[in-house]
Amino acid sequence: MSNKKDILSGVFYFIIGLCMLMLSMKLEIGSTSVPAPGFFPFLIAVIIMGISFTIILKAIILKKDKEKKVNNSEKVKGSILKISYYIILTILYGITLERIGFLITSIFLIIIILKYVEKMSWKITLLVGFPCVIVSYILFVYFLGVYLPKGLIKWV
Amino acid sequence: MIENLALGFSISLSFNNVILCFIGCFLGTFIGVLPGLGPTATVAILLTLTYKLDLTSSIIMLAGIYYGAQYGGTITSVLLKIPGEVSTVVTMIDGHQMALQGRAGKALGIAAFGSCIAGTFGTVVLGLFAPILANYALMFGPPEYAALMILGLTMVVYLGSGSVTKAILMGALGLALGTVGTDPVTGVERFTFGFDVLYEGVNIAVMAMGIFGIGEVLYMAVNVEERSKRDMVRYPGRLRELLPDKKDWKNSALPISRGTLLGFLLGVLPGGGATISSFVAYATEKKFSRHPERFGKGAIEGVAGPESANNSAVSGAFVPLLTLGIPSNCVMALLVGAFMLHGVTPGPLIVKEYPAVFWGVITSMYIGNVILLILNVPLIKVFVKICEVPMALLSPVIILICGIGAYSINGNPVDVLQTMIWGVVGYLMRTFDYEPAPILLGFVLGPLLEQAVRQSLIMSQGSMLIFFLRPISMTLLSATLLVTVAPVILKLFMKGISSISGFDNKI
Repeated sequence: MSNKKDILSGVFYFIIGLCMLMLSMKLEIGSTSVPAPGFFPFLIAVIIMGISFTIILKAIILKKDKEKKVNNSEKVKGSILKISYYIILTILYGITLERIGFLITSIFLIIIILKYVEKMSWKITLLVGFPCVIVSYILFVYFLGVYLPKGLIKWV
Repeated sequence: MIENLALGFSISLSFNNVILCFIGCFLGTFIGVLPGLGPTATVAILLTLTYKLDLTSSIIMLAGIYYGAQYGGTITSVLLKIPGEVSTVVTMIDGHQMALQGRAGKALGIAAFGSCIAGTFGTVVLGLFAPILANYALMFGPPEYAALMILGLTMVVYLGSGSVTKAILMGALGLALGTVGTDPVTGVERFTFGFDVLYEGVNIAVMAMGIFGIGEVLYMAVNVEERSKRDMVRYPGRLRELLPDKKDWKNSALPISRGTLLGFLLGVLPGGGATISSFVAYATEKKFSRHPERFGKGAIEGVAGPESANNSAVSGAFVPLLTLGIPSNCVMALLVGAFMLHGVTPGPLIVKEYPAVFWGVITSMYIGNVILLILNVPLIKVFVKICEVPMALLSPVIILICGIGAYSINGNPVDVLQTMIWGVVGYLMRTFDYEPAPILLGFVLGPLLEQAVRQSLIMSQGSMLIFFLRPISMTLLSATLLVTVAPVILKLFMKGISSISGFDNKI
């Protein structure tokens, strides 16, 4: 499994390096006496491609570890689902922050994560969620002078 | 010197700055006790708290967060046998054994006192050494800067944990990310793909919060198993239990002294830092001890030496930052970011042009060490309770703080989305066994390195020999080569330490 991970990540970074190489060639590379904007990115791209290739080679050449086949597909599925929830909720938080306002969106974010993603009880969810958001609001807005969008609650 | 210290103390002892230092130490320790969140993640998450403060206050608070987080890691190492971060792995060996013997208070107490003494010494030496080094640094030209940055990156890559090849790749990726935005010489747009938000480059706070904050939260959401409460050793309930007795002081005096000196010297080196210094200090104490067989079984020297070393290394790490403007580790890289956000480029001129900042920060480190001692000795119970809080409860809070932090930078919700994207990147990096630290250092050093390399090549009219013909850059590049071939030597050295200290059995 670690070999497959290394091959996959090596290929990914090789492609990144290749794209960077091509894009830096579109910018002017110049010469060593007059380096242009593409010069440094070109060098870095070559390094990235070289190192990624090394990682892929090492992964292919190294003997495969004898791994026990463990049926953990349920756990993997659960993990990916949990992370997906975190990502989707944070993206929604970012999108709705200005329209709905910091207080409401933050309370919803914490309540949904604690109650429905982490499966906490309502008691803990509410005891943690509300104070956390209110303390953060006071700290950032009143002590640090940071602007946080009021959204629907305009009187705060 | 005395006038400078007086200036520094007049700034750092102001009510606002003392409060900020206190808040920094408290928050740093608070987050430092949380599993998986070391000093880098802590500073990254809390970086945006300092945006609205002036530069001196920002750095004072961030420095407080840094050494607060270091001590937070010590608490979990001693009581829970879970190192808060890599530099506290060594403390765990004897510290946890002391805790099992009912001497947890002594271990935590000597760690706190040792750290305070080491930090104070480090601060004094920093105040003496840094201005002198700053004068020499004025002799550095672009080739010397380029060579020093290459050495720094190489050391971070080779002396970190994990695969060296992957660390080099992460460093290179960091350098690549540093090229996004506008070319520093010609102003040409690079790799922005038409996005206005990338015109000024990737924001360091957004990236750091994402990779180290949200990335860690996502990773721990699926990888951390909750600790059993039975695993936790009873924490010291009374203040008396935290105070070392005469015998403890007698056994710890020399380890604290040696650890302080070693830590400072190693902390100065780019890529050195707390981790290396704590390991070297432990090995040194074992070597110097008349009873090395006691190590690994609760020897107080095994806590006093490494803890002093890693705190002294923090002071040492400020030397290249304040004198050359080059970060020697990830946390310093974040502090460079904080400097730049306030429109100040750290470097040798900072002593002359911003003496209030320079001396204010140095004297605040002394105050911070005292605050840490005052804070941690009576508040140990509070911090231990935090260890017991399940990660599931803390994860949404950390996401909220990162979200607020990201939004507060420019008032742009796109930054919140960016932070989450970086969070996913950080999660994937950990899942595929790539260390995130070199990417941050590469990112901060990238624009500086590019400028130095291009200026050097213009000076030499295209000849690469310029890096090898100037004595300082030649020395630095030779050191880089030494570091590159050192892994083999280091492996043999660590094997030797393992057989002496029994590391393999204890970690």
